Amino acid sequence: MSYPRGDFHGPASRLYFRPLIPYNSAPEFTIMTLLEAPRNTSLRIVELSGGENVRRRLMALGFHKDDIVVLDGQALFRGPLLVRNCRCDTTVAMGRGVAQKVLVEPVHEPA
Amino acid sequence: MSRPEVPSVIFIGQPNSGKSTLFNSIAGSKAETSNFPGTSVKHTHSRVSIEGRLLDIIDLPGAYSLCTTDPAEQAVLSHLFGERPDLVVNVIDASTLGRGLELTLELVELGYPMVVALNMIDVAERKGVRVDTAAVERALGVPVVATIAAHGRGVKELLDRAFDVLAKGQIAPPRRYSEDVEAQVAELAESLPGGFPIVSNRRFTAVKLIETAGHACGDFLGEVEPVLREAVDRVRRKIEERRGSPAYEVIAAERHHQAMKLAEETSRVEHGRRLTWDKRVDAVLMHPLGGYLILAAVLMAFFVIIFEVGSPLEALLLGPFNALKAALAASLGDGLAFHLAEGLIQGVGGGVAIVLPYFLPLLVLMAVLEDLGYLARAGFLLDAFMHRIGLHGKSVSPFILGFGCNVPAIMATRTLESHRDRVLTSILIPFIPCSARTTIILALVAFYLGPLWAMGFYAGNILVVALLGWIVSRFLKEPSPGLILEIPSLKTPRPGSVLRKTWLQLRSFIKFAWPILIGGSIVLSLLSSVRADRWINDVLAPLVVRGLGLPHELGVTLVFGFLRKELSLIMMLQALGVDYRDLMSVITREQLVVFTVFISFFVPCLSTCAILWKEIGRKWALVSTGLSITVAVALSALVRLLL
Repeated sequence: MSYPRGDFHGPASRLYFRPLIPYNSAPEFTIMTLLEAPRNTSLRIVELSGGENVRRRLMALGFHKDDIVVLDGQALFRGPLLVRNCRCDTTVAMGRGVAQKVLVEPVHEPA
Repeated sequence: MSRPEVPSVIFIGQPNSGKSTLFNSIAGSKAETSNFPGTSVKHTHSRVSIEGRLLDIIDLPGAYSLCTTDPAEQAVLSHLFGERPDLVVNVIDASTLGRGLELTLELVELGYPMVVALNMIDVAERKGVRVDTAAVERALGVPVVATIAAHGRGVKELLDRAFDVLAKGQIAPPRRYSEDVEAQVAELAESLPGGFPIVSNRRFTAVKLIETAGHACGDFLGEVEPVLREAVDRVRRKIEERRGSPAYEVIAAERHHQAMKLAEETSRVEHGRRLTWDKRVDAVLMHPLGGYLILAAVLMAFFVIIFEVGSPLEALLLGPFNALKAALAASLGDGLAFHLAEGLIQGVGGGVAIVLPYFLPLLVLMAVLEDLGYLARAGFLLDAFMHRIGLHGKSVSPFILGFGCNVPAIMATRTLESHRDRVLTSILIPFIPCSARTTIILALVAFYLGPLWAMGFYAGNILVVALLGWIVSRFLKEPSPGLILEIPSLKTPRPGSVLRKTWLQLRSFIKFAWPILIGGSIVLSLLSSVRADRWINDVLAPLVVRGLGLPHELGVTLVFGFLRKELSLIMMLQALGVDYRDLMSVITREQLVVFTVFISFFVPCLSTCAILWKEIGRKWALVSTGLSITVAVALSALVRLLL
């Protein structure tokens, strides 16, 4: 497993702040977008940013602030992420544009 | 419509909760189920008699919540709010209890008599979650029955409880939000003016006004009066100031926490997160590399199986019909009676011997893929490619459905959130070779030139769709909202459900398409008996003969292909006056390919045009038709040049 993962150079990821402190040194303070988050690690949703439509859609599918999610996989060629919500055990394929609008922080909890 | 004394029961649940399976296990063979495309994607309406008591049961499309922007889900709301049902059967996937309960709590707020079916309880147990049904019932205050709809378990108890609730009119008390939110809701509920259309009760109406205010789906509650609008805005601002986030988010979070708490209190995790078989299979199916190999193999197998099943069957079935025709020709001579009989045999025989051998396996395989839950996985894998043509993974499912029939595929675009995505997907779907065109491709290209040619044809076809998507998306610049697609858990396809789906499609083929095939064949026979087909052929000659290099006789078949694509194939044989097996003696390989290309891309069939018009409007339907004609002519000319 390599940390951190995701595209740090893409133009869109500059819209959000990147982790200032290296993730493995102080994970509890690190907030990142879902796109940059490590795989197979429990992540707490800190904020759903982005437009109202996207937020409403995410909430309807059971993704809310403070939920614990895990990144299960990713499709090839900058494809979508596979995000599993641990609280209700549902999995959603999330486009990169949407994943960029979900801010998360890793938590110390086995995935 | 239903008589007032027959109680109406609405089935509602989140997508993939097994709602339709439950519905079918009740509607089953007891009643004739009719699918009619109304304002919703499709809702199924059945009148059933259970132990001598009549019920009108209605299956609505799945909806995640009662506050939605999705056009398919909005139809659910208008049905639920507009035609107040006597009972709501809420179907929950027990394996994702927490999320399912969010909709349940909304329904409890709505305050209609309700029964909850805790479905797929076996899947939950497999995941290691044991749900205490009695505890859920106590907590919600409405009857809750554990069911496994796929096996028919718990259905009888569910119906017993449903009749019980219908008799008593039992309504659950709504759960209260935090005090500060509840106070605002109460304030708004009180200030609702006298004439305002109340949905069920004041509290629910107030909650929905707060949740939808300032949002497009707010208008389902009717024209909001200015004074009320002010009151709604005031209440919303108060909640937002206090909580620091939008009011709709606050209410959604309240409900989410209630649902999660309820789920945690009523279910027990028996063993840790075990890697169940479906998770293991999923890891392979959605593997960054293996997933694509499997996808390619699945699509390849799809067509190979259809061809391998279809072509021997076709050869086997054609014999008797040809023998019958020969016998008739000998006994009837060349009069009108013979032409009528010939047309009839061509139509009936074409349907049985040429269309069904390919159509049936395609329907079965389609139903298997659908039931397995593979379409969503294909959507995940292909999202990146879809972005290249200006769409995203959610359009994959309608596209794959399009291989079956374009009509339901275009209706399925309603699950796409943005209008632009719907239009673009709907314009492209008519270019997907549906089962009728697959029949033509397999019966002509694969049968005479070999399966590899057919594969090449499909590859070329998909390329054309991609290219068109890329071009059209240049003109539709509006940004796409991005992919949020639920990946439902894998399910073993059940023979019963697969057969049922196949039968529904087959029945509509027998009811609508086959009569057209038979009628068309008879009309062509009669035309040729009075030699009227020549005039049509003469008119079309510049295009057919000079443009496409096809035999003069085929002009009329292209015209009739507009009614049903298979009709072109059957009429082609008839027009050329040859037996299916001797086709290559009258036309060349090039002509065969050009004919197939032209038929495949030329204006989609009548039903597809009608549904396009209805779904995306006249302008876009005309754009799609225009594109079809242009592409068909251009590609046919290109193929003619190349071959």
